Amino acid sequence: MLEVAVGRAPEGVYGFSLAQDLAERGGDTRLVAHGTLYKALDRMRKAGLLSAEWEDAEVAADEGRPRRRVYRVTAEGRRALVEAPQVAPRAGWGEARA
Amino acid sequence: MTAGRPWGARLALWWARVYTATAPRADASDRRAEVAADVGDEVRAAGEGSPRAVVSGQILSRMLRGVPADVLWRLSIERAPGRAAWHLAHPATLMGTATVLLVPLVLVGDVLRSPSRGNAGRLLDLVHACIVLLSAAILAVALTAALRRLVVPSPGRRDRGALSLARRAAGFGVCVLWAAAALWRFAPGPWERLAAAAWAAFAACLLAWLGLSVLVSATTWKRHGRTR
Repeated sequence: MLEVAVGRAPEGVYGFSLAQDLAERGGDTRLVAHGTLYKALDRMRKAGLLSAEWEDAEVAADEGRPRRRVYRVTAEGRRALVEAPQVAPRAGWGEARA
Repeated sequence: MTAGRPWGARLALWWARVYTATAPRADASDRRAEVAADVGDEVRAAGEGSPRAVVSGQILSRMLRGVPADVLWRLSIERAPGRAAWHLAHPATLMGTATVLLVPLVLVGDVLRSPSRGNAGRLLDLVHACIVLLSAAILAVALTAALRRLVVPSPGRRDRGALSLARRAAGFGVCVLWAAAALWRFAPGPWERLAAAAWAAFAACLLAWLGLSVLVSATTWKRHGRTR
């Protein structure tokens, strides 16, 4: 999830774009579900790995859709992403990162 | 705009309203808005060419697979300091949830003790114990809330309409009487008659609650129609 968000910097990611990217990458599809996705984002935001900001209401209104909450990876999140393989190595993780 | 949404999108938004109901305002509004944006984006991404049933199925699938995480998220919010006191002051969520949980338990208990099931011994005892505990919890919360209301008056209640207040009272009655009927459901002798009386009163309260809910919805719809 952090990887996807880093890949979408600096504009950031929002719920549905993140779900789409995760689905395209394959892997654990549970994260694509509404509840799992927003619970994970909430936890990462509270852990300081992501920052969240509601987009400008006018932008959303101009496009005729509800406002999106945009997530961006923080410095702490980037650090955690670099350290993650050493902390919790997982099968297939290296392939996914390549 | 709502009328144009596929049924899967409406269902996902309804579920978001259900599990965020009575959660702290900021958490609830953020989650509802995020789900609304997500569902809206998914409908738009599917485009005009995609059959609505397919789009609905995709949204429904994402919603259903996330239900356990939604429930866990809500439970994590309820662990925050002050939430227990809040729920005692506003017991509708606790009582409603426990009543909904009690319904399948009672049904399972009834099935297990039917003669065709033979000897369901231990399982029936376990289900019975769960029913007694949950019913007693509902009655205890109701009693605490009623006593608290006597001691601490709530100022915000006066501006509610009479219909809305009557509906809340009927809802309170539904939960308490269902719990009372369930508590004495398996008891012998005079308790059994008490359970039957509670059951009859529950049915009356349920009918009243349903009728009042329709009236409240119609009134709200009319009011919104006038201000539109």
